[in-house]
Amino acid sequence: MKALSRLLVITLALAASLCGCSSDGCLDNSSAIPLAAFYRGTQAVTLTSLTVSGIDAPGDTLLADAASLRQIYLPFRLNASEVSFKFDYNDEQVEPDVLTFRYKATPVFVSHDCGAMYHFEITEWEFTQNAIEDVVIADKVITNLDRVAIKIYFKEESDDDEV
Amino acid sequence: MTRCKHFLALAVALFTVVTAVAQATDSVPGRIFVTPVTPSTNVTLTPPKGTDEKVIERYLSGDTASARAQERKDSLRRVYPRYPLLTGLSIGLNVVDPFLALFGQKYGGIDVSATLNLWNRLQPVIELGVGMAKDTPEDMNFTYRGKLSPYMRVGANYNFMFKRAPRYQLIAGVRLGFSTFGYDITGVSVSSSYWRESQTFDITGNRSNVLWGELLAGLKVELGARVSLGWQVKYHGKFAEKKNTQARPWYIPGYGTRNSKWAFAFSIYYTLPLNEHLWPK
Repeated sequence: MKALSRLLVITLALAASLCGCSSDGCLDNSSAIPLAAFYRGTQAVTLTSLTVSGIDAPGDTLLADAASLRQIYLPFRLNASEVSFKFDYNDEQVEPDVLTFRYKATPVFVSHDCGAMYHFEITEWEFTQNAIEDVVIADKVITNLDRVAIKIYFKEESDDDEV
Repeated sequence: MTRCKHFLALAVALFTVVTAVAQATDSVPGRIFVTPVTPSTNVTLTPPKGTDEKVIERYLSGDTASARAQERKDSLRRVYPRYPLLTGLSIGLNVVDPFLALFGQKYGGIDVSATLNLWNRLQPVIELGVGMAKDTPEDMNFTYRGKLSPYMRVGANYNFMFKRAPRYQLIAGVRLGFSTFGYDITGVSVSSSYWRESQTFDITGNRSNVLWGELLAGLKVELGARVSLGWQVKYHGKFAEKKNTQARPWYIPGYGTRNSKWAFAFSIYYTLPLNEHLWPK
C-alpha cells in the first residue's frame, strides 16, 4: 500500500507536469499590423531620411522620423474603415506621397497564446505618385503573421536612395 | 564308484561346453547375447508428479497414448493459462482533470468507461464524458469559455499480463475519440497605441467537432473488494477537425488543449468478475 501511494504521487506529479507542456507560446505577432516593404525595380531598397505619419494621428505622432528604412509597419485604425499615411522624403524637390487604404476589419481569436485581434481585409487602395511608382498588395488579408503584405515601388530617378 | 565316474565325466563335459561357449562369445566380434530374462508385457509406467488422477487411471488402464495427450494439454494449460471469453466487466471513472483543477488547471472533463475483459487479454473499451473550459489568461485580452460538451472514445486494450490473475494488468491500447462542442471568446479588448483607439468585442456561438486517435500504455492494480486503480499515459493526434477560421478552439473536450500531444488518465474501477469458475487455478 505504501508503494502504491508512492506510485500514485509520482504519476500525478507526472500528469501535472505533462499538462503544463501544451503551450508553445505565440510565435507570431500579437496583433495584425501590415508590414510594408520598399522596392526599386525588382530590388529591395533602403530609403534614407524618410518620415512617415498617419494622417489625423493624435498629436501628429510619427511612425518614422527622418529614418533610414527598408520596411515599416503601417497600423490600421480600429474605429474606422479607412486610413491614410503620409510619406515625406525630406527632399525639397520631391513632394510627399499619401497612401490610403480602405479595409474591412474582422474579429478573430487566433490562439490561446496569441490572443484575439482584428484581421483586416484590404478592399481598395490609392496613392499619389510623386516618388512612388506603384503599390502592390501582396496579401489582401492582414493577419498577425510577420510577412510583407504591402510592396511599395519607388521611381528610379531619386538620388537619395541607396540599395 | 561307477556313479562317481559318470558324475565326474558329466561335470567335465559341462565345464568344457561352457568354457567353449564363453571363448566363442569373447573371440567373435559380432557377439551374441543370450538373456535368460523373459520380457514382461505387464510393465507399469510411472506418470510425472502432480498428474491428474483421471490421467493416472488412463495409464493404469493401458490407455497410454490418450493419457500422454491429456498430459501435454494440461502442461500447455499451465504454461498458457486460458481465461474464459468473458473474464470480467469493469466500470471506471477518470478523475485526473478534477484533481488537476485543484492545482489551477482551467479546463477538463470527467468520463466513465466500460471495459469488457475477453480471455484476460483483449479488452474492448468505451468511454463517455463531458468537458468544459474557462480561462482568462494573465496579460491576455480575452476570456475563453468552452461550453459543457460531450465526448466519446472507443477502442481496445491488450493486457500483457494475461497469464496472471486479472487483478494486475499492464496494458497497451488504442482509442478513437470524437467530440462536438461549442465555445465563446468574450471580453476581447484590442487597442492601437498609435491611433489611441480601442475596441471590445465578443466572438460567440462558435461550434466545432474533432475526430482524434490515441495510443496509450497503462497499469491497473486491484486494491481489494473489486476496486482497482488505473494509470494511463496517452499520445494523441487529430485526424479531422471542423474548421472555424474566426476562432479555432483552444480546448477540445476529451482531448485537451489543441496543441497538446500527451494526455494522462487516472481512473478508479469497479470490476465484476465473470465466469470465475472457469478461471485457471
